[in-house]
Amino acid sequence: MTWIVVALLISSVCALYVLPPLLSTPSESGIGPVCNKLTELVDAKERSLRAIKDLELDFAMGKIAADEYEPTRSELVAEASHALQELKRHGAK
Amino acid sequence: MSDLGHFALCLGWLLALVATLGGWFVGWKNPNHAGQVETVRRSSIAVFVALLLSIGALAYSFVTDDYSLQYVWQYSNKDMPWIYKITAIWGGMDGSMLLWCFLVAAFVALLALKSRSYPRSIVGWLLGFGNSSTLFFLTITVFLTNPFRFIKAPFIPPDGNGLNPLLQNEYMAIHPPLLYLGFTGLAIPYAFAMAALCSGNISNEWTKLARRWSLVAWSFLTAGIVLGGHWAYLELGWGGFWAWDPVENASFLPWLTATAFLHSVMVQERKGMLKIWNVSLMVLTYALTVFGTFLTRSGVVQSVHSFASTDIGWVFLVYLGGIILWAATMIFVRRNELRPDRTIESVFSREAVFLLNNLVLLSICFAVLWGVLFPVFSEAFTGVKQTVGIPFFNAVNIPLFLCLVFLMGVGPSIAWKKASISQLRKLFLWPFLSALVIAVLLVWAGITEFYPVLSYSLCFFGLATIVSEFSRGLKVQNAATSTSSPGSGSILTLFRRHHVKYGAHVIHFGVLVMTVSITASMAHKIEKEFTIGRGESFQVGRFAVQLADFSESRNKNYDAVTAKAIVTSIKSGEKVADLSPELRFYPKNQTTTTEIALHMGSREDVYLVLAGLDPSGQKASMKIFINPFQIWLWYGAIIMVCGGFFVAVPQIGARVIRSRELDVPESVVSA
Repeated sequence: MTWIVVALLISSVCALYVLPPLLSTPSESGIGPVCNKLTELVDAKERSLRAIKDLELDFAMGKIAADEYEPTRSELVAEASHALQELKRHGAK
Repeated sequence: MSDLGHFALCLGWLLALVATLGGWFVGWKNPNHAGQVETVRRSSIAVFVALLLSIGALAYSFVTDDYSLQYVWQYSNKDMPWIYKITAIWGGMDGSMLLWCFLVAAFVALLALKSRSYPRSIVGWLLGFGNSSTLFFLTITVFLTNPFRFIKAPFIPPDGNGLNPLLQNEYMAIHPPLLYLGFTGLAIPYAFAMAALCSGNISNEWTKLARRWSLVAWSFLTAGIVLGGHWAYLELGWGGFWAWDPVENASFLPWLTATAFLHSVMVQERKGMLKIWNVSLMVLTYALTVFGTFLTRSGVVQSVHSFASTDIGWVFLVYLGGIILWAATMIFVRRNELRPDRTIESVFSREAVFLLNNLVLLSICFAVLWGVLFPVFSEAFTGVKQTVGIPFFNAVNIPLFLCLVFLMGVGPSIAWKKASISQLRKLFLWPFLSALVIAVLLVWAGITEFYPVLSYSLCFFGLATIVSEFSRGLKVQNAATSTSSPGSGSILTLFRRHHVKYGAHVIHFGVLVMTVSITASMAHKIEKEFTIGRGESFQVGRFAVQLADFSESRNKNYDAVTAKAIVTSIKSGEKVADLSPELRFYPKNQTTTTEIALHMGSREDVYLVLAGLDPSGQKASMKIFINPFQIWLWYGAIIMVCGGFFVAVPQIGARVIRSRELDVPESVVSA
C-alpha cells in the first residue's frame, strides 16, 4: 500500500514538472531566457575566434594557400564580428 | 523497493514516449513554440530521474539480497563482497539493458540542458531522436528483459546463484559502464545528424556541435575497450589482451566509424565537402552500436563476453532496419542541400589524406564485420558453421593499420587544397629519412621480420612529424609574439591557443605508443609451458623462475591453491619479483578459474599462470609469458583518452584559459 502512495506522489511531482510549460502561449521571441542566447553568442564568438587563430597558424605554417586563406578568414571574421555585435546589443561585456 | 523500481521503470518508458513523439512533433510543426519545447526538455530530464530511481532500487535489491527478484537470485549470493553485488547489476542481460537505458537517458538529459543554446530549428528533432534511443532500449527492458520480475518459485530462496567468477574482478566494476558510456554517447551525434536531416538545417552548425559529443563518446569508448583488454589480460590467463572475439569486435566497429567521422567532419567544416558521407557515418556508427548490442544478446555468435542467448534479436533487427531506412530516405530527400561546396583538387592535400584515412578505417570495419558474420553466413549457406580466427584478422588488418599509422603522420602536416612537391619535401624528407635510418638500425640489431620493422619505422615517422609540427608551430608563434608579448612562445601557449589541433597530436602520440607496444608484444613475445616441483627452477628469456612453495586457503566465496614463485634475473642473479598465481574453485558456481600473477615493468611484463597440479599435488604445471613493452599499451591508451577529453571538453581544453589567448583581433572589431 505504501508503495502505491509513493508511486502516486512521484507521478504527481512528475506531471507538475513536465506539463506546466504546455499551458504557456507560443512564443516567437526565443526558446530560452536571454542568458541562453548570450551563451549561444559567446560560444559562437569563441568558436570563430579559435577558428581564426587556427587558420592563421595554418597559413603561417604554409598549410593553406593565400587565395584560400583570405576568403576563409573574411568569412570567419564576419561570423565573429556578428557575434560580438549581438553580444554588445544584449549588453554583455 | 523493487515495486518502486518497477514503477519508476514504467514511468520512465512513458516519459520517453512523450519526449520522443513530442520532440518529433515540435520539430515538425512548432520548432518555435517555447512551451512545447520546454515540455520535451523537461520530459527528457524526468526520464533520467525516473531511471535513476529504478537503477537505484535494483542496486538496493542486490545489496539487501532480495532473492524474490529472479535477476538478483541469478546473479548474486550472500558471500559476494558488496562491490560485486553492485557490479552484478550489469552482470546479466536484464540489468545491463537497464544500465544502458540509464546512461542514454543521462546523455539525453545533459543534451536537454545544453540544448538551450542550440539553434531552435533542430532542438525538437534533436531531443526526439535522442529520446527515441532511450525509448527503444526501455521498450526492450520493460517488456522483454525486465530485471524486476519475481522469481518463479513457491518460496523465496535463502541464497542466490552468484556472479560468474570471471566477472568478479575490479575491472568489471568500471569496464562495462565506460564501454556503455561510449556506446550510449554515440546516440547523441546520431540525433544531431537526424535532426539536421529532418529540420533541413544542414549548415556546418550541427557538425560543430556533434563533434564535441562524438569526441566525449569516443574517449569513453576508447577507455572502455582498452579496459576490457586489460581485464582480459589479467583475468583470462592466456597472456594476451585482444583475441578478435566477436564481442570485442562489436565494440571496435563503432569505434572505427566514429574515428572516421572525427576526421572527415573537419573536411566538412573547412571545405564544405563530404556532407552525405558525414551524415551516413554518424548513422552507421549508431547502427553499429545497436548491432553490437544485438550480437552480444541474441546468441548469434559465441563469445566469452556474450550474455545468454535470447529471442530478442529480431527486435534489434527491426529497429536497425528502421533507423537505416529513415536515414536513407532523409538523405535522398535532402540530396540537393547535401551537395558538396567544392571538390578535391589534388591527392596531395589534407582533404584527400583524410578521405583516404576514412576509406582505410571503413575497410578495417568491413573486414572485422565480415569476420564476425562469417560463421553466420557460412552456416546459412553451407549448413556448417565455420569460424575465422586471429590469423584472418591479423592478415587483413595489420597492413591496413600500418597504412593508418602512415596517414596519421601525413594528415595533420600536409596543406589543405594542394601541397607542392617542394612543400612535401620540406615537410616529410627528414621524418622519412629518420624512419629509414631506424629501419636500417633495427635490421642491423637483428630484427629482420618485415612487419615489425615497417611498424617501428612508421611509428618513428609519425613521431618525427609530430615533433616537427610542434617545432614549426613554436617558431611561427615566437615570430608572431616576440614583439607583442615576449616569452609567450611556449608549448603550453601553443596548446592553449590551438587546443584542438595540438590535442589531436597528443591523441596521435598515444596511438603511436600503443602501436609500438602491440608490435613488440606480437613480434617478440615469449611463451613457455613447464611442470616443476618444489624448489625446482626453469629459465625463460632473461629470467629464472623457481617454485618455492604451494599453499591452500579457504576464502569467503572460493577455495584457492596458491603457488609461490621467485623470479630472478639470470644475468645478475638478483630477485625481480615474488609471484603468486592461483587456482580458484567457486563452490556455488562449480567453476575453477586461474588468477594470474604479474610483474609489470617498463621493458617487459612477466606473466605467470598456474595451469594445474599433478595428481600427487607435488608438481605444478605453469605457463609463463614474457610480454615486451606491454605496459606502454596501457600508458598509450591513457594518453589517447586524456587527449580526447582535452580536445572535447572545453572546461579542460580551452575555457579555463580563455581570456588572454582569445583576444579579439582588430579586424574583427572593425568588421
